[in-house]
Order: sequence, then C-alpha cells, then structure tokens
Amino acid sequence: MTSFATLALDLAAASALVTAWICLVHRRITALVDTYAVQSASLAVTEGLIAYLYSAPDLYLLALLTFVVNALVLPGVLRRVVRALRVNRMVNTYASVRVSALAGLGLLLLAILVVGPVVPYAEVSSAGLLPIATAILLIGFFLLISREKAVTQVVGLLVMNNGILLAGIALTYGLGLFVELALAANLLVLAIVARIFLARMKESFDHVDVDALRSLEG
Amino acid sequence: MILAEALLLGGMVLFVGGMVVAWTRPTAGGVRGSFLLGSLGCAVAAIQAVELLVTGTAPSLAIGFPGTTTGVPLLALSIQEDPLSAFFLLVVAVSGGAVMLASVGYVDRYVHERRGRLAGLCNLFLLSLVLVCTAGTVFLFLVAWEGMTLVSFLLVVHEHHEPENRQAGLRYVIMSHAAATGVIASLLLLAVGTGQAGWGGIAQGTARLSPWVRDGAFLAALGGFGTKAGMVPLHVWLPGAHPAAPSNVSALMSGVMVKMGIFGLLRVVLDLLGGGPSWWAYALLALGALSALVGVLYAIVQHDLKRLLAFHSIENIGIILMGIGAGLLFLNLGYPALAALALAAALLHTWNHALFKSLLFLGAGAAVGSTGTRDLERMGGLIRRMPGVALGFLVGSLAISALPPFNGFVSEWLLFQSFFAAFTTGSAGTEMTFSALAAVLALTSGLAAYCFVKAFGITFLARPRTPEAAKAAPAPRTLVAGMGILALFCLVLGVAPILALDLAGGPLRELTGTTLGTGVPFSVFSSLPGPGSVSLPFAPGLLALLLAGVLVVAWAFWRLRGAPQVAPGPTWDCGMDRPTPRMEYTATGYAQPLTRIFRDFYRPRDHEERRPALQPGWGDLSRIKRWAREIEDPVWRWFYLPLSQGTLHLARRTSRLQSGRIHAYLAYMFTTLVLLLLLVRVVWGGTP
Amino acid sequence: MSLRVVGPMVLLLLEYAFVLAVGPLLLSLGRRVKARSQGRTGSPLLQPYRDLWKLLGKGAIYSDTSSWLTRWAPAVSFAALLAAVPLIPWLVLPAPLGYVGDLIVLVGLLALSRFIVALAALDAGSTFGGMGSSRDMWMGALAEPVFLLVIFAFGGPAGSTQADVIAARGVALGLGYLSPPLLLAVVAYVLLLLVETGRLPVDNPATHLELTMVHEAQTLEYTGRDLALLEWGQGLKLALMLGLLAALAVPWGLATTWGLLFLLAALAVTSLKLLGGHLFVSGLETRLAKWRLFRVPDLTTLAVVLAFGSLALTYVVGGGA
Repeated sequence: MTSFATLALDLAAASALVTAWICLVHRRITALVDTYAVQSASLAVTEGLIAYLYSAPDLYLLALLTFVVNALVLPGVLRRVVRALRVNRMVNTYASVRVSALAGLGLLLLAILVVGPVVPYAEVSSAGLLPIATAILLIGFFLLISREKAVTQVVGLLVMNNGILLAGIALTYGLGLFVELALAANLLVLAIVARIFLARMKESFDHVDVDALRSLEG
Repeated sequence: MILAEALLLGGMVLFVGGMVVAWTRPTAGGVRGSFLLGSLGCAVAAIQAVELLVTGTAPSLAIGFPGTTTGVPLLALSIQEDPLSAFFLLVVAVSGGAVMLASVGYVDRYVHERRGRLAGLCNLFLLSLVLVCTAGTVFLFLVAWEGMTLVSFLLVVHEHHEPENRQAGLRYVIMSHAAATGVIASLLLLAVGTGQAGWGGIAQGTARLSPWVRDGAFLAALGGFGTKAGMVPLHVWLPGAHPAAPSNVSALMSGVMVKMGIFGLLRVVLDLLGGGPSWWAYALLALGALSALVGVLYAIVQHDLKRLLAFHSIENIGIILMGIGAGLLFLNLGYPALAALALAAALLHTWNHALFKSLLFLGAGAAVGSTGTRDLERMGGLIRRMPGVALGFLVGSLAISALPPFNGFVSEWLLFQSFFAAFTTGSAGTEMTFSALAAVLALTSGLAAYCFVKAFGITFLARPRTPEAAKAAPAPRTLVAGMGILALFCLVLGVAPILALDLAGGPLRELTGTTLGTGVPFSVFSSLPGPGSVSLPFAPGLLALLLAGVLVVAWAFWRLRGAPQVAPGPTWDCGMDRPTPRMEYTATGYAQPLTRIFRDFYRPRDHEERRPALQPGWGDLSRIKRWAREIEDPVWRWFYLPLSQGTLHLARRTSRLQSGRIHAYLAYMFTTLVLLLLLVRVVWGGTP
Repeated sequence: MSLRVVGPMVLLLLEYAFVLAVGPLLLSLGRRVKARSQGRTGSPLLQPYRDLWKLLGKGAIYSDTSSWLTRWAPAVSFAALLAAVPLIPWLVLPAPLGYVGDLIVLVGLLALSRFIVALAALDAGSTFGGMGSSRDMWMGALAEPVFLLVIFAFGGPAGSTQADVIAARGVALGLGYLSPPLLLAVVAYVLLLLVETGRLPVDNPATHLELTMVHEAQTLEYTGRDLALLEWGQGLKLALMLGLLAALAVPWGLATTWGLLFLLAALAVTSLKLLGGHLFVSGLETRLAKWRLFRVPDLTTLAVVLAFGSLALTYVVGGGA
C-alpha cells in the first residue's frame, strides 16, 4: 500500500508541474486562474500523501489549508477581481506563448541540472519532488516577469509560492506548522492587498496594465 | 581482377567516346548517341561497383609514376578502389545512367544549338565524377575534383544569355574556389604529415599526427567538402546554381555531385582520420540539424520549382550529416556497432537522395520544358498532359517525404533508430541530445511532406493556370523511361532495403570496423539487421506485402459487388459560379500559414498595391489590387552581409599597410618568412 | 500448416474485424456525448454503420477537373491505415505480426494516409480543398516531432520502439509502471491525439462551414464508396490512436497467454479501454471551444514540452515512462 501512496505522490507532484506548464500557454485570464486552482489542488494532494507516508499529522492540516486557501479561496478572489474590474480578459505577454512554453521546458532542465545533486539530501526521498518544485518556482517567476497585466502577475506570484511550498516540504517535511500557517495567512493578506491595489489602480488609471506605470517615470 | 579493370576502363572509354561523338557530330543523332554512350558507360561502371561490393575484387590501375618509388610521392597517380569508393561509384552510376538516358529525348526538344557541347560536357562531368570516386591518391583526387567543379561551372552557365544564370555561375565558381582551398589544405596536411600519397598509406599514418594537425584537417575538410555538399551556412551557391543549369544537369548536380562532398567528408574524417574528438561529432550534428531545418523551411516558401528542389537538397544533406555525426559520436563513445547503424542510415540516405532527387529534377525538367516557366503559379493540370512524368514525380515526392513503402522512409527510419539507440549508452546528455535531434528530424520530414504536397499539387493537379500549361507538350519517351528506372529503384530500395544495406556492408566495415547484422544476405522479408546480432523492429518487405494485400482485398471486394456507376460532375462551388483556375490555391497561399507560424524566422516582406474601394463600406480586402510576398535567405542577412561588411571594414583598416614603399613590402615578406619558419618548427617538432 | 502459423493469422483477422467494427462506433459515441451535452438525443449508436453500408453501395461522382489521383486516394489512404493495425497490440502480447514494424513505422503510415488525401484535395481545383489540404499538412508536420518524442519517452525505458514490447514491460511491472514521466508522456500523447484525429480545440468534425474546416474540407469532393472509405478511415484512425493510448498508458488486461477465455477477456478489456478513452476525449471536447487556427502551434509546443520533460524527468525519478 505504501508503494501505491508513493506512486500517487509522484503523480500528484508531476501534475503540479504539468499545470505550471499549462499556465504558460493560456491566453484567457479565467482559464489561467482555473489552472492555478487545479495546481493548488494537486499540491494539497501531494501534501496529504506526504503526511500519510511520513506520519506527519500536522501536514494534513497544511494540506487542508492549501486546498481551502490556494485551490478555493484565492482563485475565487481572483475571478471576482477579473469580473469586478472588467479588465480585458486576455493575457498579454512579453514573450510569445510558444517561446514561453519552451522556456518552461528550459527551466525544468535547469532545475534538474542545478538541484539534481542535492536530491539525495532531501528529507522526502521520493522521486523528483525537489527538481519539480524548483521548476514550478522558476516557472512562476517566469510567469511573473513575462506577463503584462497585474492580475496575471499575481497568478505568477502564487504559482511561485506553490513551488516554494513544495520545495520546503521536500527539503524538510517538518517545516513546522506555524511557519506554514504564517505562510498561508501571508497569502491571504497578499490576496486582499492585491485586490485593493488592483481596485485602486483601476480607479486611478482606468486599466490595470502595469506597463502604463512607466509613463509616470520622470 | 582483369574483369574489374576492364569494366572500369570500359566505362571511362565509353564516356570519352560520348564526348568525341558529341563534339565531332553535333547533330540530333550524334547528340542522342552521345547520351546513350554515357548511359551505357554508367551501366558498365555500376556493374563494376556491384562486383566489388559483392565479391571484393578491386581494380587497381597505376598511371605514370608508380607510387612512391619516383621520389615525388605526392604526384603519384593511381586508381585504387575500396568499398567506400565503390559504393559512391554505384550512387553516381545508377543516377547518372538514368539521367543520361532521360536526356536523350529531353535534349531532342532542346532547341538550343549548343546541345552538342551540352552532351559532351555531360559525359566529361560523369567521367570526372567517376574519377573522384575511384582516385586512389591525393593528387589524382584533387585533379578530378577541380575538373568536376570546372565542368559543372560550364554546365551551370550553359544558358549564359540569361544574366541571372551568369550571376548564379559566378557565385558558384567563387564559392567552389574557396571550398577547393579547404579540400586541398585538408588533404595536403594529411599527405604531407604522413608522407604518403595513397588513401591506405595516409590512413595508417594519421594516428601519429598531432591533434592540432588533425583538427585543422577536419575543419578544412568540413569547410571544403561541406560547401560542395551544400551545408548551411555554406550553401548559398546551391539554390542559384542548380536551377540555372539545364534540368538534366540539375539532376546530376543535385542528385550526384553534392554527394561527392559527403564522400570526401567520409573519406577524410572517418577513413583517413579514423574518427576524432566528440566536438567533431557535435559540430556535424549541429550543422546537420541546422541544414535540415533551414533547407526545408526555405524550400516551402519557394515558388520556383527547381529552386524548391535545390533547397530540399540542402535539407537532405543535413539529414545525411546528422547520420555521419551520430556515427562519429558513437565511435568516440566506444560503440562501433551503433556507429555502423548511424552510418548505414547516412550511406543509405545518400543513395536514396541521389535516386529521388534525380527523379524529381527530371520531372521538374519535363514540366519546365513544356510550360516554359519555372514558376509554380504558372503551371497546373500537367497530370493530364504528361501522366508518366506525374507518376514518377509522385513517387519521388513520396520518397523524399519519407513515406513508406519508399526508400526515403527506410533511411530516415534507420536514422531514428540510431538516435534511439543512444538510450543504450546510459548517458543522460547523449540521450537528450539525440531525442532533440529526433524531434528536429521528425519536424523536417513532416515539413518536407507539406512542401511536396504543395509542389506536386500546384504543378500537376487542378486546372492549368496559364494557356502554356494547358497545351504543354507530352514528355519524350526516353525521359519517362529514365524516370521509370529511378522510380523503380526508389520502390525496390523501399521494399527491400536489405539489398542496399548488404552492399553498404563493405564501406561500413571499412569506416567502423564492424557491420550490421549477421543474418542471411538479401533476405527480403525478414526484419532489418541491426547493430551486433539483434535485428531491428521493421520488416519493410512484409509491410509492403501487407499494404499490397489490403489493396488487393479491397479491389476484389469492389469487383464482387459489381463495378459502381461513375459519373463526372462539377467541382463543389458553394452554389455559386463554377470555380476558375484563378480561384485555385496558389503556392504562396499554400505555404502562407507556415510563414506566419515561423514569422520571426522568415521575416517576410509584403508588397501591396492598392486601389480605391470598389464600393464604400467594402472591407479593406477589396482595396488590395496586387499582393506579393518576398522572403530572402536569412543566412545572407545574418552571416554573409556582416561578413562582407566586416571584410570591407578590415580592408579599409589594412589599407594603411599599403604604403607603396618597396622596403615595407620586403619587410612584410621577411616577417612572413620568419613566422613560417617558426610555424614549421612548432608543427613538426624535432629536437633542437 | 502448423498452429504456429495459423494461430497468429486467425488472431490477426480477429483484430482486423474488431478494429474495423469499433471505428464507426467510436465516432457515433462521440457524437452522442456531444448531443447529450447540448440537450439533444442524438442519432442512434448504430447510425454510422447504416451510413457506411448505404454509401458503399452507391456510385461515385468525380469532379470533371480531377484525375486518376482522386480515384485512388481514398483506397490508398484507407490501406495505409489498415496496414498500421498489426503494429499495435490489441488483444495479446506479443502482437501477432507485431515485428512488421514499430511505432515510427506507424507514424510513417499515418503520414502516408494524410499525404495522399491532402494531395487529392488539390486535384479538383477547389479553393476549399486547397485550404483543408494546407491546414492538415502543416498541423501534421507540427505534430510529427511530438509523436517521435512521445515514442522516445515511452520506448526509452523499455529499450524498444515497438508497441508490444513497451506494453509487455508495463504488464510485467504492474502498478510500478506508473511514474511522473509516464504521466507527462500520456498528457503529451492526448494532446497529440487531439491534433492527429482532428478533435475539438483543433478541428471541429461536425462543422458545416467550409471556411472553418480542416479535414472535412478535403472530403468535400467525394461521394459514394470513396466518401465511405474516408469516413471509415476517420473512425479507423481514431481507433488506432486510442488503441495505442490504451496499449502504452494502461497496458494491463492484454492477454499474455493463448486461450479462448483469455482472448475474450482481453477483447472486453480493450473495448472498455477504447470506449472509456473516447468518452474522456469527447467529454473534453464538450468543455472546449474551437481554438483559433494559429493557436494550434501553441498546443503542439506544449506537447513537445511535456514529452521532452518526460524524458528529462526520467533521470531524476528513475524508472521512467
């Protein structure tokens, strides 16, 4: 049974990676948010399985938290933002979708190259959890820098956050519940801030394209 | 032994005879006879090559100075064939013979008065090709090589009344000249370094050469032979020169002559140098992948039929280079059996390309000859005017697009298998490299299929787009016969590639020390032999049988149900007017999606002529009167333009050296002499 | 003749009968799912068989601008697809006649089938034919690297490009066959399947507007038996792609021993896998709108990324697809 759980863990982590890549090819913001929700859900499953495999009950709570906050609440907030702000619902990019996707592949290779030697030292000895987490982190970062609109950048930040969470668990599954809790609370605050920030931005500039901020430069 | 020599000499005599006939009697009959003699010469040479490859009897002829005894070893002239030469001789002879046969009727319709010269030069060209293959010493090889270049230049500018052709010829001769420097440098480095003139002698001595000399010889060979083969970025002469020549000559140049570049590369890198460091292999793999992709991407956007085919030669050379690179890498990693697999793919693809490219150029020649244009947009509907040519071109298109059951598929399949074999090396880097190369090769062959649907469809299908195309003259019978021979070879080598693989056994043993499989020779229906004693998961004979069987069953089924009624009707017109040729898809339109997908690569320039809107409120589209798209080779923009500007810049800088004072020049000479002496000391070493 | 020769022959014929029969059923199942999702009842499940039978009995009308190519194309295209049937293990391992070719040969046969149809689409000189032909060919060209990478990803750990060898490894490994690289390769393959069989985000098989057609535009000129062959070919291609998915992703249930009971069980399992797979694909289709034509390269790029990622992950995860 343990081997089955290990297997499921591997697959859940891999699907988190797949969804990160899919984030790179989306052109509609709502689809992007949906994919982020799926990714968070698979992250929650990963955490739950780690909790089961390594008998770390506090991780169950984290899994639940991840599911509620990252997979349900945050996407809900973001969807409301998109609806409320009536932003143009297309994702604008600096790098074309195809270049982004290939960059995503490059980032995985980079992650494997860089993190590969560290893998044996990770607490959770399962699979390629650490390289996958690193790749998700990098892809989130790439999303953050290559997308124009503030909403999409927030999603990039959240994907990055998922990567950090996964990497943290992979390295030390006992990161401590309180740290995790703090992290989650942090996220919630972040979302609210983002919500307000976007609303204000919309009010002042009538759009949420951060590129337009450049016109403020002296 | 005597038979082999007699056959080889006989072939050469037939070529000389062809020349003499053409130049002394340039009448229609004389020209026809001349081409027939050339064709016969090729047949004789092919028999000799097959005899060597099967039985191993090599002809050996020494001319003038016999070997090293004269004291001028470099000038030794001798004809000495080994399996590698014989394989390439076979490649030359089969395609050459078919093309010469096809030329008999083709030139009949050729109204040009200089056709005697054309026939003679074609024979001379073949003679030089045969000599390049069979030369046993460096000196004879170089003489034959230069002769081949010179004759092909004369053939390119055969129709020199067109300024475009003169320009193409000029570019060709300049590039060839630069390339010859590389070839000469490479071979002389090896010959002088080892003190030998014959291939066998050099091959034994190269292991003792310093790595610098070996690297130098490799790079010089890569540049020199690579140019002749049409490797990117040294390919720029090829898309101009091949279309400029008369079509039968294009078939010889694109089908056969570029293979001499491959031959030279194999000879120097694998036979003489016996492989090298892994960066050689990676260089070949990278250049091969680049050539394949650039070649096919540029082929797709051409609407000049012969230019399109010329770009495909670059693509296929790229595929062959990938095979050679893979072989080199496997040798370097210590897997000679896998190297044999990769090189078998390369050798087979070399022959296959020679077959289907000659076939396609002959077909293009027929289309161009009877419509008077090379522009795809002015052809169409030729399948009804020349069904035989269309069938031949169709076979060539299927073969070059790597579709079963034709020969192109088998060689690309073997190459895929050799890439896949990297998974047995257990090295992650190698596996990822070859996986990426497999993706490149797959994209290339997919795009080639796209391109040939366009080439065949726009040229031969639908309705004629111009009056000239509508009354195109049917093709002469010998042309169809020549194409038929080549098409038959394409099919046979696709159904029974084991024939070619068995013939390639000798060269493979020569290059890698091992060969494919140990199975029954010429077993048509079994799986293909693989590295070592395993067999590969593909039985082309059975597959062909399966395809044929299914077709026969389907046919019998129709027969049993009774012949259905067949009626003609109009093409679907959406319930409006009958479609006209103006409404047919154009070559430009067919390729347009790709120029959009790879926009950053092509950077097309569009020209629009506008007029006032036909009706107020009508869309923008109605204001466009004429629309043209221009795409130029990016290698010019990225490689040659900066190069030429850099050179000019450098020249301006160095012009300061030109003081005009005699002392200064003497000082330059003195400095050069001192440097050369130092170089000699460094390169050849020795005790102080 | 001994049983060693006759057995595989009979089995092969059985497989042919199965694949030929299941193709139209898959098509009608997909239509049915879509109809249900739109609140319609949809046509009966057996409708495609009736259509095929009717069309096969009819004569043909050929455009007066077309040539012999049009007359031959449907049969050759169909034959190429049929020749691909033995390359996939449908019921038993190893597949009877599986040594005829590997998956790269399968890619070649699918390409041959597409090439001939695309060529014949230009024959009548119709603008729509040219449009469909051009689109089908460039999409096919972009799908080809995905196919090869997927084959490498599945075949690499098994050390073979042959479908039945890969499937046999999966059966032998049991659940241990599942791994992250496998998941990535399967997702890549599903994207490839959508492109190859012209499913929804790429092409809408149910469209009646010529300008939006890809595959349908190429069949506009065909009537009677030729149309039947092309329609049947579509079903056959769908069955091939799904059958390959079943063999590579969930190989369990293929018989490894001979025997009537084993065969019947394998037949049931394979049918379930195909129908289940197509239910999934059709379900996916009802959730998706057709993408813009020039989004298709994005899709194939994503598939390349997934397949290559699968290969790369093999080195950290081990085991592999």
